[in-house]
Amino acid sequence: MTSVIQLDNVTKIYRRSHLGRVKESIGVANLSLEIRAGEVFGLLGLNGSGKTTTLKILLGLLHPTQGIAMLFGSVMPEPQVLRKIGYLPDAAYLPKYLTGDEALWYYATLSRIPREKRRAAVDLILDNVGMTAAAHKRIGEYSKGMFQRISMAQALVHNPDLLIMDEPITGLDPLAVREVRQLISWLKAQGRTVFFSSHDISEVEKVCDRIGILANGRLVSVLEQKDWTGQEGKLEAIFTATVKRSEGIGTLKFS
Amino acid sequence: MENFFLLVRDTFKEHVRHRLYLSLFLFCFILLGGGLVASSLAVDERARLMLDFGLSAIEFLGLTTIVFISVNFILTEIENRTIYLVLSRPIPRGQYILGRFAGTILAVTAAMAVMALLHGLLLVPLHSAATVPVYLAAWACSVAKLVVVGSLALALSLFSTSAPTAMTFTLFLWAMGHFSEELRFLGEKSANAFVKLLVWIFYHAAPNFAYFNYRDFLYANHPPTTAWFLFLLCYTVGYAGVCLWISAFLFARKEF
Repeated sequence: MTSVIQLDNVTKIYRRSHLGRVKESIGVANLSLEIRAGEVFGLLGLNGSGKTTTLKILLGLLHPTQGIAMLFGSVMPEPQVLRKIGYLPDAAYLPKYLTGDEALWYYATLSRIPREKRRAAVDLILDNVGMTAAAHKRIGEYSKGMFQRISMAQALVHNPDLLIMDEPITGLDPLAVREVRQLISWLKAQGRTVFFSSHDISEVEKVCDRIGILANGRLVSVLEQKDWTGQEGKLEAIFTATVKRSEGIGTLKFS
Repeated sequence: MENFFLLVRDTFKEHVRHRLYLSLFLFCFILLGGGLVASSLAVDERARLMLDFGLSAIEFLGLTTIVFISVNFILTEIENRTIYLVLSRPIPRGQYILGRFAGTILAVTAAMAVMALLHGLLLVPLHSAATVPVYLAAWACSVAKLVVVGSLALALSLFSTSAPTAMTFTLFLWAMGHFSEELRFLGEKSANAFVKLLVWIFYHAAPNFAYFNYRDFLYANHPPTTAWFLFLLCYTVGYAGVCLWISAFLFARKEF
């Protein structure tokens, strides 16, 4: 199987300077990973473990300090490769001055969908996410659920081969969580590749083919589905044994 | 190219649908109304005062708006993180900057055109039709100023990444730009090498607004030549071009 994502010894060091004093922190360190076409891969880790940094490096929003990030065989950032990628961020970062329909038209054009196919693509995705009726309302007037649906639609409007999702279920109600799960299963059935980050172990184990555990910016373990299938609590046990808090927070002493 | 025009159109839409845009017209009404009252006090010079005051008010409102918007439009998009969904698509960053800038200029120019129309209606009883081309030329010079100040504000916003700092520096250079020749004169007269250097830097960095003062010719007997307009056009394109190139360069290196 061809590799869709390839991270080769990627390190990201954040440098923040204040009054001439430079402070460095590690986003990810020596991260090497390969994700194959059609795979659903979950990146599991605590807050600050480097999940979002990894996704942003893949999207070209961050430049690695060291190493190479490749998508579909091209070193990122490569604008042409971005045509094949859908990105669903952790919250719906949408332009509130546009209507749902206008926003999707905007993203469809930016994704280079040919003009003659654009109207059909926007209408289809609006229908697929159940937002046809509210399509001409300004996004600023949408409820949280509607926001989420349009956010999902913008990631899929151009029919991407790879969907990258940053904590797609964080803060969602149970129904919306089920819908995201449904979306991932549908994408998998279509042969698309899904790469997402999360800290929800129970959800990740339901949908992933493989899971990578990130701790303090390092990929400490990559698990195959057979490592946790049919063994209740196994993944959680592996995860808690693998990761440690790094933010200077001590353990709870209520036990 | 389609993406560029899309960015222009959506940026225009964004500004036009903003509350600030409507308040711009409110301020314009207040200023033009004030001008009408004030000009009625100047019996002999009423027509001239009304013309000058109106053009100055339109230019002032246009420039303050462009400084505020140009400094904020990228920074706000970074803060709201809406930029993630744009830059994760196949769009070169330079094109994004140019499209957003052009849309902003278009929105403020449209507002200035509406204000000029209102102003023009007030001028009808006071001026002859011969004033129209002169008025349009003066208005076009204000738009050229707008392009220069907007591009400067954008470059400074991407350099400093803090809206208040960028706004302060833009306003400072804007003010300096009105005293370019005085600044050069002071630099030449100074014996201190450091002061000379500092003045030289400011003289070249700040736009020279003396080149845009078409209104100086309004009541003079020698109208500006074609060469004057060509120079102004080249200066505007050159200055804005350099600022936009710097903006695109800084933006390409930016991380989100």
